Amino acid sequence: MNKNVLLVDDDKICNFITETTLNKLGVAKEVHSALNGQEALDLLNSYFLGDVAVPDIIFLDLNMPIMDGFQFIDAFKKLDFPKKDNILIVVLTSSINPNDVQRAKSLGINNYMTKPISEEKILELLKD
Amino acid sequence: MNEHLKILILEDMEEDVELVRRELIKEKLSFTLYRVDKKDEYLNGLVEIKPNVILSDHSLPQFNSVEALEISKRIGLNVPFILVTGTVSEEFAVTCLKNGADNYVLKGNLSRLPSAIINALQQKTTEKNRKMAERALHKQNKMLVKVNEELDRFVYSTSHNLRSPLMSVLGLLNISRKEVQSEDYSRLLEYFDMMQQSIEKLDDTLKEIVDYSKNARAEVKIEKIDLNEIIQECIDKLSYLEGAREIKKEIFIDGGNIIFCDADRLKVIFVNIISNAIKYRDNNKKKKELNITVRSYPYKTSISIQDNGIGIFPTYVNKVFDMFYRASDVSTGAGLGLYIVKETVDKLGGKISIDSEVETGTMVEIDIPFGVRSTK
Repeated sequence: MNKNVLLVDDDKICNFITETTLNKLGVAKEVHSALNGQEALDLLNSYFLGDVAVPDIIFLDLNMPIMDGFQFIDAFKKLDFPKKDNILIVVLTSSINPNDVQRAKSLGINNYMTKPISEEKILELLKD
Repeated sequence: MNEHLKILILEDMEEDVELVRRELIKEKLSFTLYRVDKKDEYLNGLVEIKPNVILSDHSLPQFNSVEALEISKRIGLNVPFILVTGTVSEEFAVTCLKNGADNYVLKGNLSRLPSAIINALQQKTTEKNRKMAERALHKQNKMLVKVNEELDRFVYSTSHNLRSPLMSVLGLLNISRKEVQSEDYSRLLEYFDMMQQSIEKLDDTLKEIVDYSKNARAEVKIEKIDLNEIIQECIDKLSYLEGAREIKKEIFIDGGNIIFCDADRLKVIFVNIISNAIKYRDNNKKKKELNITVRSYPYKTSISIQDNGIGIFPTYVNKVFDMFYRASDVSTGAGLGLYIVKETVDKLGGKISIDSEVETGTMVEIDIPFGVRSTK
């Protein structure tokens, strides 16, 4: 179960926690991180160029400077490349605002996790 | 009733007008009567005289009271309309009242007219006051809805900004616990450091919230201020920040070192802007600078704080004063810093502007009127 993962969160510590948890479970192959939506888009562009592997999972924070999670989802939808549909976007946020869940759902994102991430939550996600 | 009344009377019989006049004089009303008996005269009268009261006979040669009432309503003249007429059927009277006439008085019983006028005027005043109160209530309600929405947003954003670092600590605790259980202690110190960073971030956010609330609630307090002292105090307070000591700070004061202002608010302004200059310093530059210039004039104090830091992208410059806006990943707080500065400057009745160029630096300029008074 070797997944390529992209972590998008402005909190470096949070990216670190997710990466460490994935590594402990031994489910990740390549892990990259971005500090906001724009950086994530830039990284995805280098995936297209073949520099790094296309991610299987994107863990996405919502509240970020420069480009937030919602804006990223919008921009991601407009991207055009093969295998895009195989990428699983998982919202990972500390927000407990029900409107955020609603908004993410309306953008077609059905995987929603509240922080902190844990081994159990990742195993549950990978079960499906 | 002391008000002088302009009474427009729609009546073709001169004698009837005289009878009305006599009754009104008898009751010591102060008034001027304007008689009209044709439609165009009536219309002109409504527009030019702007009467306080309209008295109308029912049937005139080319005109009648139903039409007259209709016209006065259409013009939007909300004044008492009283029918003064010969015998009419009860049915007709009821219809008139239903259509919006305020009262009707029979010509045979004109002694009732003065009190009918006074009552109708009082009723109109009451109605007007009620409408005004209703409007005020409606406006207030709209404002409350807006305030509530802002509060909702504030609560959610703040809870998010407080939860984020807490969840990081919790996540780090989970990892630490698992490692301790498997007797691996090698990275614990690293985790402790990260926990500490998260907790400090949480503390930053809490301090921002307190500053925000202090500014919103506390009255402006004008006192005598030693500019040099206050700026130095703010710089010292921030000397613990990473990189603070690498920056060469110059203070230039022109036009007198003593001003009259709200010291606490001035400190909030300086601390936030100086700490930004420290956080967003440009590590690619050998000489990192921060120049604070204060010029006091008889009527205002102008402050300019200029750094040669990383600068702000043009797309974000206009948003930096927005609540919870963070233009950079370097930012550690809730995105309240410059919002609080803006609110504080507003409270002092001043103006703030920001000018920035990426890789060149940022300049914040503030004008505060002398002897400021609260604007809110």
